[in-house]
Amino acid sequence: MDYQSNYSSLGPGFEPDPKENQGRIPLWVLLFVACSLLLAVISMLRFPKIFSEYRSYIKAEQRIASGKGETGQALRDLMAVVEEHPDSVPMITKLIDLSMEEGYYELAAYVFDSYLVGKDLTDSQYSRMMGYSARLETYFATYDAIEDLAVEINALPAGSEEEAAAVRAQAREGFSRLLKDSGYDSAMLYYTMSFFTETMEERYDCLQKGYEADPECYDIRTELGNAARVLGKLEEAEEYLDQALAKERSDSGALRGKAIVCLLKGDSQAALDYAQEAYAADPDGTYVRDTYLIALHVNGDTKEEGYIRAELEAEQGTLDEDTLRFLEGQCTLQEYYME
Amino acid sequence: MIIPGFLISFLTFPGVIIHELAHQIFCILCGLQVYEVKYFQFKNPCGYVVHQSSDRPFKIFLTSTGPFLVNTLLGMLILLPASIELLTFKEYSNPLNLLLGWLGISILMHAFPSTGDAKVMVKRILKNPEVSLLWRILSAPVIGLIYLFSIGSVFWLDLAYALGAGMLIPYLLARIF
Repeated sequence: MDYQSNYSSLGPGFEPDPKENQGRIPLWVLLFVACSLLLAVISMLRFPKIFSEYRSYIKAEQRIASGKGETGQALRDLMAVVEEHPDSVPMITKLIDLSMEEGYYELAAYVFDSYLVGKDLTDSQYSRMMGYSARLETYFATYDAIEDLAVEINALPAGSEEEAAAVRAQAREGFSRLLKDSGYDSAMLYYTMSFFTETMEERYDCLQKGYEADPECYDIRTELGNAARVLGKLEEAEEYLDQALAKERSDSGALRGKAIVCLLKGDSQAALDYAQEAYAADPDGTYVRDTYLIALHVNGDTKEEGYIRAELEAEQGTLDEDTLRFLEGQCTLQEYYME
Repeated sequence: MIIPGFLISFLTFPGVIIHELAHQIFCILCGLQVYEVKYFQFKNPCGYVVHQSSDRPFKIFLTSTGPFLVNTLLGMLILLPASIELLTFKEYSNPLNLLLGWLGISILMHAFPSTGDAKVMVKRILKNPEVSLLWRILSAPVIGLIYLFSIGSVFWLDLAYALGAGMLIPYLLARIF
């Protein structure tokens, strides 16, 4: 009887004793395969959810890098996955990595304290996380120092314009003192200091220094864009605002800023689109309704303009003087939005 | 770390069972009589199939390389529900995932035909003057890969294959969707 043998992973070394045809597969083998497949099918019930979480994990970096303004959402999706898989070190470290890269320091700190503590890390993961820990310590130390300075400043009288100017000078002096200490985050200090400057040029300079130290600090791009716009640097303003929107499309401040730049450049339809988007994202955001109102007015949409005006008057009693002057044709857009 | 091959086979015995089953299935499909099947034993070799020979090169090829297809497909299917949590999330707390992981990886680690299977193809196809040149050309690289993989197994290439194949479907699905 002519026969051949096929072997498992180990080679031949013996001569089997060929018997009659034993082509039937034994029941236990069939049961073994069936049970394995059954277990797999049962486990597949969870697969759609797990796969969705896997997609959030592997696409997070891609979404952030795409420039479509999905940074916040990508990080929130990743956070939801971490909450479902609190023991997954790759998930936790990825969220911390991306949060730190994109300036979401408080999220990084939360994940650090809530999920990373007690986990086993490789040497490279450990040294990376320790680097972040030092950075976060600086961030929160600066936050506390700014809070302490705010308490100091708020205690000073600021009833008159002279007293308010003195308070601002005192604040700037406090920030300058903190800036000399390398243990504090200079970007945060410059950003906060910019709100206590006397002129828009000074504010712009402060924000520029903060941006150079850390472009991810708070909404420094939006503030820098608005400062550049007031100084008449429209192209530069647009660049900063586009950067802000590439990071976070729902940033109502950046959307509002873009709307104003478009108004000043004469593109009233684009301005209305941006203003509408800002209003949809955050109707109660700072000056969002005001800018929407102006954009509607420029585009001649008197009906919607009436609704928004009513909302503003319900909220603050009356429109501010400059806005009223513009709506009544007593000043131009340039006079309203620029120095 | 070098661990004796027979010990690996003992620990991954489901893969040995499926490997021999695959040989048997392809024998049945090719109409070859099967005389004896040892799905697993605690000696060398861990398993074998003794069957009717053939002078048709495609039957020899299919019966010898059958485990690659069967073990790979079955291993990927069984490992799929557990692969993401085990291999990407690195979570090891779910017993069902651990069981599926062990089954799936064991089956995938035995996907490649053995050097014994390669020797059959060398004897019956490569060195057989009655076999056409086309079949000898087709089988030569496959035989070479089998020997390469066998050497690579010393450096855990079989495990690397198992892990790679295990994550292939989720990776492709994530790219598509």
